[in-house]
Amino acid sequence: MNWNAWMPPLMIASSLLPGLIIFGLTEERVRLRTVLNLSGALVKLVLVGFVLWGVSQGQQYETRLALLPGLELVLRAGPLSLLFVSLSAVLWLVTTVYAIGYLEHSPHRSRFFGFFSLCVTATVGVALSGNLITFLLFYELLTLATYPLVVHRGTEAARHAGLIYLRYTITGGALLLVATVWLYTLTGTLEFTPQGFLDSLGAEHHTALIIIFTLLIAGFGVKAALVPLHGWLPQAMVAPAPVSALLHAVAVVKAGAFGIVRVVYDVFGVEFAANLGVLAPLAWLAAITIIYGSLRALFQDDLKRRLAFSTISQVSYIVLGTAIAGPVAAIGGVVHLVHQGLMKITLFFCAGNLAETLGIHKISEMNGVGRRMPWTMAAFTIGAFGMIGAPPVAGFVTKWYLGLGALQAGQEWVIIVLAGSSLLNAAYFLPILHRAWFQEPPSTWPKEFDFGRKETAWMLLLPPVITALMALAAGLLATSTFSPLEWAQFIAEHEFSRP
Amino acid sequence: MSAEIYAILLSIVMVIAVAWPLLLAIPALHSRLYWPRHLAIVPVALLAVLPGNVSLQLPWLLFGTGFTIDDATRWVLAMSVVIWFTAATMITSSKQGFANGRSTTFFLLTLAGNLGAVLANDLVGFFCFTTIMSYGFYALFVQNGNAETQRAGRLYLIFLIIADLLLFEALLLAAFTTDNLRFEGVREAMAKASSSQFYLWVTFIGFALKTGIWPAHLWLSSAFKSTNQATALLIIGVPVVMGWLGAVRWLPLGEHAFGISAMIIQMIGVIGVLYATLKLCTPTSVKIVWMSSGAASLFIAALGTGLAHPTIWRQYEYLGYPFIASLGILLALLIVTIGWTQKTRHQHPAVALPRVEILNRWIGATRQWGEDTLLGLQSLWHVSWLKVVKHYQYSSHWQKLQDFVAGWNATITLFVLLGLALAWLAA
Amino acid sequence: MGAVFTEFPWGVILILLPVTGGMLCFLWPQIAKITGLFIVFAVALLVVGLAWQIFDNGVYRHAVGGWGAPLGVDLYADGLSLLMLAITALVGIGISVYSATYFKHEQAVLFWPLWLFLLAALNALFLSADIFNIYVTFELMGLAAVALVALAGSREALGAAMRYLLAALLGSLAYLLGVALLYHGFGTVDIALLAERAEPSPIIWAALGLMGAGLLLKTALFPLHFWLPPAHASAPTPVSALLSALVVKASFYILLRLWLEIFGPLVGGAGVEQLLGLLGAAAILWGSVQALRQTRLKLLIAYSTVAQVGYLFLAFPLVAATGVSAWSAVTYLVLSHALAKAAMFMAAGNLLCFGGHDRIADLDRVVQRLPLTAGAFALAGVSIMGLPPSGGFIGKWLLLEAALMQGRWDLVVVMILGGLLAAGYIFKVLGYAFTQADVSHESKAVPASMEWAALLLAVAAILLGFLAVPVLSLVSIGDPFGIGEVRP
Repeated sequence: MNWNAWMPPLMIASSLLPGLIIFGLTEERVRLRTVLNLSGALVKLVLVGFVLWGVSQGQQYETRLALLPGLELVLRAGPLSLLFVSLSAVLWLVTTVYAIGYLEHSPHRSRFFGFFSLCVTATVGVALSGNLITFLLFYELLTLATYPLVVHRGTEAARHAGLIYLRYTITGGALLLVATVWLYTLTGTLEFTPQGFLDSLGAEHHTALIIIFTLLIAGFGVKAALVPLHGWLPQAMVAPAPVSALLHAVAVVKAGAFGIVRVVYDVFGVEFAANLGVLAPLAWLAAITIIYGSLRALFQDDLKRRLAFSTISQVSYIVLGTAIAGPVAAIGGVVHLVHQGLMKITLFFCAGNLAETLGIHKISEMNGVGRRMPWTMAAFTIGAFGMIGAPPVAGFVTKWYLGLGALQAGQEWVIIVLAGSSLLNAAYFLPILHRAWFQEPPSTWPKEFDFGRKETAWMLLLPPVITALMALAAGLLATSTFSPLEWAQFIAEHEFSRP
Repeated sequence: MSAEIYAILLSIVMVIAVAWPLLLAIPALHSRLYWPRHLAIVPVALLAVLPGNVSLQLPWLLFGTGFTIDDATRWVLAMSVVIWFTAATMITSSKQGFANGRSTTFFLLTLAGNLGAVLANDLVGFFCFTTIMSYGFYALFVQNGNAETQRAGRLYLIFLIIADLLLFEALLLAAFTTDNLRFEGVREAMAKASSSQFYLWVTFIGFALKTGIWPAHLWLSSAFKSTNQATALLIIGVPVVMGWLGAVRWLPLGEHAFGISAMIIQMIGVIGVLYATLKLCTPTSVKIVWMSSGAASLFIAALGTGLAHPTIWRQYEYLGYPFIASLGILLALLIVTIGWTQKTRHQHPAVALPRVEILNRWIGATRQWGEDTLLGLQSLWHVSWLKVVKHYQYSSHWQKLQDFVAGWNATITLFVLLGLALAWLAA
Repeated sequence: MGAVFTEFPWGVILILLPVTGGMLCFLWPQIAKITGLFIVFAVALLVVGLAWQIFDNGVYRHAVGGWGAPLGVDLYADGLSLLMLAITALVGIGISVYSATYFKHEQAVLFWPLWLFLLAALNALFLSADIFNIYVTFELMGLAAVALVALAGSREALGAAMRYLLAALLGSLAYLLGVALLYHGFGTVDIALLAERAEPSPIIWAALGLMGAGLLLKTALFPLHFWLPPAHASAPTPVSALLSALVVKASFYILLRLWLEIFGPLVGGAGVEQLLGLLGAAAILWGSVQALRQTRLKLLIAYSTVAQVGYLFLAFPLVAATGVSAWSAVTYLVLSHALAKAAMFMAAGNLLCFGGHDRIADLDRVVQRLPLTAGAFALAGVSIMGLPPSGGFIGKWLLLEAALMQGRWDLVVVMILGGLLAAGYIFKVLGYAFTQADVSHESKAVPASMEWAALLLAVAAILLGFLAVPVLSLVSIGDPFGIGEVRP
C-alpha cells in the first residue's frame, strides 16, 4: 500500500473531521471541543512536518480522484504547496488557542469552531491543489466557510458586511469559473505544471489567453484585495478578531495571492506570461495597490481598519514579487506569503487583545497602552517594524529580495514603490507605537476587563508573542535551514528554473 | 595558550558583548540586577582592552553576517565604552525619575545595537544593528521627555526613516553589484560599478541625515535643548558618531577618485564648518548643537577629500578611526563640561541647558528650518564669504563672535582650524 | 440466483407496487403511513434490482403481457430512465420520511394514496416506450399533483390548484393532439418505431408545436411558468418538494426523449433549439430576478425552480452544433436540482413549521435554533448556485464547457449571471438567518426526522458532485443521447 497517496487527504481530514464533529457538539461541551480543536491542529502539524521532511528527501505525495471524465481532483504536496500548508498549519494552531481564549463565554462557539476548521480545511485544500479545478473547488469552499464567520456576530452590520463580502467573492468566483472552463476547452488539461502548460498553444489563441489571464487575476484579485477589488476587506472587519487574523494572515487574502502565484508560475509560466505582456500590467496593479492601501491606512482611526488597509497593501507585495518575473523577486514574493502571515496575524491578535482587555478599538484611545500591556505591545511593535521592513524582522527579508529581484529584472521603478510603501508604513505604524509607549495613559480605559495581576488572559497573550517571535526569527535566522527563506529558495529552484 | 584558542575565546567575548545587553534588556532580568547598565558594558569593555584581531562569520544570522574586531574598530569601540559608561553612571546617579525599568530596556537595546554596528563587518549587519540602535535610541530619547523632546524625537524619526530608506537602496545596489557584502568587498566593487556615483550620493545623504549635519541638524538643536545630560551624551555617542562610522565603512573610499561629486561633498563640509562657526557666535544658539554640527561637517570635509583623492585617503586611512573616536570623545567631554559648569552656576539640575530664547518656542519647526536653510542658501549663493560676514556684522553679532572666540572656548577654534587644514590638505 | 435477478420483470413491479400500495392506503387509512413508507422503500430496492438487470443485460425492454410494439404496451429502460427512476426513488424516500411526521390526521389519509399514485405514474412515465402510454401516465401524474396541491386546503392553495389544473389539462390536451397527429401520420405510437418512420413533414411540425407547447407548459418554461410559483408556494411542503423536484422533471424528460428520438434528427438546425435556448435564458434571468424580489421564502424557492428549469433548456442550442457534454450537463442538472430543490423546500417547510411564517426578513436567528435546517438550506443552496463541490457545479461546468467550445458567449454570460443572482437570493435568506428579527415570535419544535430528511437530501446533492464519473457512465447505457460515448 502506498502511504504517500494518503498524506494529502489526511492533511485535509485532520481539520475537516474535527470540524464536522464539532458542529454536532452542544455549547456546553467546552472541553471536548477544545481537545478536538487542538488535537486536530497538532495532528495536522505533525503530518505537515512529516511531509515536509519527505519532500525535502525527494518523496512524492499525490492523490488523484476522478471528478469528471477526463478531469481529476488532484492533491499534490509540492514545495510551494507545502509552504502555504505549513503556514496554515502553524497559524491554525496558534489561532485556535487564541480563539478559545477570545471566545470564552461567548455564544455559538460550536458553530464558530466548526466553520473555523472548515475554513482551514479549505485553505489547506487550496494549498495542496494540483490543478486549477481542484483549486477552484477549495477556493469556493473557502468563500462559503468564511461567510458564517464574517456574520458570526449576527448583527445588522455583520449581515451587511457578509453581503458585501459575498458580492465580491462570488462574482470573483464566477469569473474564475469562466476562465477555468475556457482554459480547459482550449487545452484539455488544467494540471499545474512548472513553467506552465500553455506555451504550446499557437499565436491565434493569444488574445483569448490574455483575456483568460485577466479573468483569472480578477477572480483571484478579489480575495487578494487588489485595487479596485478590495472593497470587501475593510468591511469584513466586523468579524471577531481571530477571524480577522485568520482571514488576513492565512485564509482568504492569502488564497487569492496564492492563486495569482499559481496562475503566473504553474498555469501560464513566467516566461510565457511575460511574452504575452500580461505581467507588466499586473506589476503596475500591484504597485498601485501597495501605495493605495498604505495611503488609505494613514487616515483610519479604527485600529482594525488600519490593519485591514495595511493588509491590502502588504499582500500585493506577493503579487508584485510574482509579476516582476525574476527568480529573486519570486523568492521575495513567495516568502512574503509566510512573512506577511506571521506579522499580520500578530498585529491582529494584539488588536484583539486591546479590544478584549481594555475595550480599545481606536488608535486615538491607545495612549500609554504599552505600560498597561507591555507584552502585547511588544509583539505589536515587532509586527509593525516587520511591516515597515526594518531589520531584523521578517519584512526586511521580503523587501530585500523584492528590491534585488527588481534590480535584476531591470525594473528600478519597483524600488521607488517599495521605498514609498515603507515610508507610508512607517507613517502609519510609528505614530501608533509612539502613542502606545510614550504617551501618558488615561486614568480609565474604555472598557476594562479584570485579569488580576496579568495583563490579559494567557491564551490571548501567548499567540501574539509566539507569532511575533516567529516573525523575528524568520528574519533574524533567514539563512538557516528550514527558514521560510530557505524553503522559498528551494521552491524557486524546483518550480521555476533559475537562470 | 595557543593563538587559536585565544581567537576562539575572543570571538566568544565578541558575541557576548553584543548578546549580553540584548539579553539584559528583558525587563524581568534587569529589574532583578543591581547596576544593570554597567553590567551590560562589562563584556565589551573587556573586548576593548583585550589585544588581538579576530573575525567571526555567522552564516545563519540574517543573510550571513559577521563580527570583526581589529585595531581600527577598537578605537571606536573604546570610545563607545567610555561614552556609554559615562552615560550609565550619570543615569544611575541621577535622582530623577528616568532611571526606571523601561528606560533601562531602551538603554540596553540601544547599547546592543550600537555595539553590534561597531563590530559588524558587513553592510547588512551594520544596517540591521543601526536600525535597532536608532529606534532604541528614539525610545530612550522621547520616553520621559517634554513636548520639546517629543518634537525633536519626531524630527529625528523622520530623518531616520528617510536615511534608512536611502541606505536600504544603497544596500540593494551593493548586493546587486556584488555577492560579498563585507565592507572591503563592497568598497572595491562599488568603486568599479557603473552605479558608483548614485551609490555614493545615496550613502552620503543617508549618513549625513543620520549624523545631523546642516541642514539636517534641526532635531539636534531641539534635542540638546530639551533633554537631560546623559541623553545628550548619548546623542553624540549613538547617532552622530555611528553616522560617521557608517560613512567611512560604506563609502568606496580610497579606491576611486570621484571628481566633482567629491568636490561637492567637500564644499558641503566646509560650508557646514563655516556656518557652524558663525552660528556658534550667536548668543541665542545652542552651542553644543553647532559644535556637533561643525564637527560633523569637518568630518565630511575630510571625507570629501578622501573621495577626491584616493591616494591621500590610503595614506592617512589609519587616522580615520582614531579621528572619529577622538571627535566623539571631545564632544562628549564638552557636554559633560557644559553640564558641570551649568550645574555649578545655577545650582540647578542639568535637565535643561540655558533657557535660550523664548521666541524659538514660538516659531515652529518648519519656520526655523526654512530660516536656517535660507541663510545657508544665501551663503551658498554668495560665495564671497565677506558678504556672509557682513550679514552677521549688520546683524550686530560680529562683536559677540569676537568675544566668543576670544573668551569662551578656544578648543572650538582649534577644531575648526584643524578641520580646515585636513579638508584642504589635498587642494 | 443471478438468473432470477436478471430475468425478473422489475419494471412491471415498479409500476404495480405503488398502485397497489395506493389502493391499500385508500382502503385502510389507518395503515396508510406504514404502507406508504414500506412501498417507497420497496420501490427503491426495485430500482436497485432494475439497475442490476440493466448492468447485466443492457437496455431493458419488456413487452407487458407478451404483446409487443406496435400494438402492445412496451416498457423500456436505458441509462437515462434508470437514473430518473433512481432519483425519483431517492427523493421519494426523503419526501416520505418527511411526510410521515409532517401530515397529520385527515391530510395524511389523503396524502399517502395520492403520493403513491403519483409515484406509480412517475415510474410508468420513465419506463414508457410509447407516446400514448406516456400520455396516460402524464395525465395521471398531473391529476395526482393537482390533488396534492389542493391538500393544503387554504384559499390560496385552492386557487393555485385550480390554475394548475387548468394548465395541466391544457398541456395534456395539446400533447394528446400531438400524439394523435403522429399516430395518424406514421401509424404507430412506439417511440423507436416512430424514430424509424418519421420524416420531415408538416405533420411533424404540427406535432412538435402541439406536444412542445403542452410539455413546455407543464415544465413551466418561461413564459409559460405562470402557474408554477403559486402552486409550488402554497402547496404543503412535501408536495412542493415533489412538484419541484420530480413532476416538473417528468415533463422535461418526455420532451427530452421526444426531441432525442423523434424531433431532434428531423427538425434540428431549424431554429427550434435556438428558440428553446432563448426561452431558457429568459427563464434563468426572469426567474432569478423574481426570486430575488420575493419576501416569502417558498415563493423565492418556487421562482428559483423557474430559473433552474431554464438551465435545462440552454442545452438544446448547445447540443445542436456538436453535442458533446451538453446532455450530460442536463442529466446532472436534473439530478442535482431534484435533490437540492427537494431539500430546500423541506428546509423552508421546517422554517415555516418553526416560526409559523416564511417571511425572509423575520427568520430570526434560525442558524442557532435550527442548525440542521439552516445547514440543509445552505448546502442545497450551494448546489443551486452551482458552487463547487456539488452536483450543480458539475452540471454547470459541463454546460459552460459546451457553451465555450461553441463560442456561445451569450449563454455563458446568462449562466454566470444566473449563478450570481442565485447566490444573491440564497444568501439573502442565509443572511437573515443569522440576525435577530425585529419581531420575535413563538416557535414550535420541529421533528428531528423532518430536519434530517432535508439535510440528508442536501448532502446527497453535494455528494453528487463527486460521483460524476459513475453517474455519467450509467446514463450512457443504451446510448440515449445518440453520441456513442458521453465524452470523446
